[in-house]
Amino acid sequence: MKTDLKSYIKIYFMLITQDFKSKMQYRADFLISLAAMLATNFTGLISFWLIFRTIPAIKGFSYNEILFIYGFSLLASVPMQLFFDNLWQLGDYCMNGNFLRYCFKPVNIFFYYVSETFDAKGLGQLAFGLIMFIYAWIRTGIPVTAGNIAVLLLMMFGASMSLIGLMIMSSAFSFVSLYGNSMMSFMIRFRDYSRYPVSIFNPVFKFLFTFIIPMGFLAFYPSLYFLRPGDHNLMSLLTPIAGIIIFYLGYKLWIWLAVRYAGTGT
Amino acid sequence: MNIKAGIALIKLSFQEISAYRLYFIFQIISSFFYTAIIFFLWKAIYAASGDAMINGTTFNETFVQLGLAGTLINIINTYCEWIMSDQMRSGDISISFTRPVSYRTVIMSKGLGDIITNFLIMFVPGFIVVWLLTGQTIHLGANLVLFLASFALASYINLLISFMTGIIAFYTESVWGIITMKEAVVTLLSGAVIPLAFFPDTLRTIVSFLPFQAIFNIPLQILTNSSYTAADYSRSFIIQIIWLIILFVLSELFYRHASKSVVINGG
Repeated sequence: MKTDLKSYIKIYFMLITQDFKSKMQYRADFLISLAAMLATNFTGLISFWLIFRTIPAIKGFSYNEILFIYGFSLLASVPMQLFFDNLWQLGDYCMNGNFLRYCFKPVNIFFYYVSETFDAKGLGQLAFGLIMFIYAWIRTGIPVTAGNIAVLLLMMFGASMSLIGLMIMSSAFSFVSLYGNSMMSFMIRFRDYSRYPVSIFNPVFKFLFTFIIPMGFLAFYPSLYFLRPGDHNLMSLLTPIAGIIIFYLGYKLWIWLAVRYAGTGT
Repeated sequence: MNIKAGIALIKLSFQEISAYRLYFIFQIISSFFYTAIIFFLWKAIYAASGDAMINGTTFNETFVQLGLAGTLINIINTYCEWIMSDQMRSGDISISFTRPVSYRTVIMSKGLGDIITNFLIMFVPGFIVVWLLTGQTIHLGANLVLFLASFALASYINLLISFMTGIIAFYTESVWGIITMKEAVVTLLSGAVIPLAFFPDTLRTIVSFLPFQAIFNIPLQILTNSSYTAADYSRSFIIQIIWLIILFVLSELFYRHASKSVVINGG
């Protein structure tokens, strides 16, 4: 079996076409899920609006700047939603033993597993996030230059990879325990709070959220590059590297535990 | 409802859940982090305002509410709508219809059992953390007893809403969508993430006519609001009881309709 890049791309499209066909049977489900996705994003926006009705800024960050971070966070979450949504099913697959069927494919097991689903409702988040982000970008008056856009893409890449890496790591717990999904929900909850400035925390928690559970890299540090350009914050420059490292660690852990998954004995 | 069978089922879920000891350790750690995040966030918000009071509430009041709400969410979260949807999809629900106890009783009893177990394990650690962080300012007296009664009603209201959500999810074949939408609405409008005192007047009036605030806002106000009089307490309980009755009747109607038209996959 050929396992070069071209055949991987071919397999990927074959898999998502299958997924698309089966989902076409549930069009109402797609529309309701899309609405739910937007509702969730919208309640996030309302929360910020409610808080900023009474105060001008949190730790020096204005409403528009917080919306910038929020928009960034939403956009950085899109790749996870679109391409890695199957990770949420891993707990079930491991519990009922169905995961074993992935162990016999002649392609990379992680690749095959995540390629099975393309979660189109992430496109709703993409649209909402883009509107939010463009609005905040204009309101904060950040100059639109080729350099800024290039850095933005790099930061987006780093933040997305960090989130995906953390979710892969969390889902890997499904191979050895019943708590993979709880772990993932735990991470998502952190992601939701990574939309506030990390500077609100005391030094202990700041350290924790930078190095141990690196949620600072999901939105705040990369946004700082644009919101506080004079600061040359080391953490924001490290975002792309952090992304690659976290993704790599997550991937390695996942594969390491996947090959040790022993099934359920049925 | 068949009380005796219900109690047996509640016991069963208690035993089932105590097998997952690690789950609780995990939940408690998770709540601890959540409480810490809430603490720093609202500390920063109050620092930014420069006033000791925002919208008539102090930092301590707000933090006690939101910090405890984080624990209470974990307690009342029984995943019963997900379980219902799974059973409907896989067809396992057909077994439930052959049983002498109604499916509704089974789900509600399991839910109540889960909530009682969750409460016994998670409430004390969550409460202590919040209590210590606010410098022991939560008044511990009759309000604690009233809070427990109110939270019991709130749990049942939430369970009824979850049960109906499960049925709607089944009709629309959109499990994730319906449940996520319900969760977004409940979290925001129940006052669990932003206290209702922060809502603009019109929005707060609308929210006061909805059942969601009876889940978190009412029990937490009973616990923390020092200006509550006997009239306020009784008004709170009356609102909860009215919602309980309305939702109970509604869920019964939903259930009757659904159990007549249920189509089981692969028979």
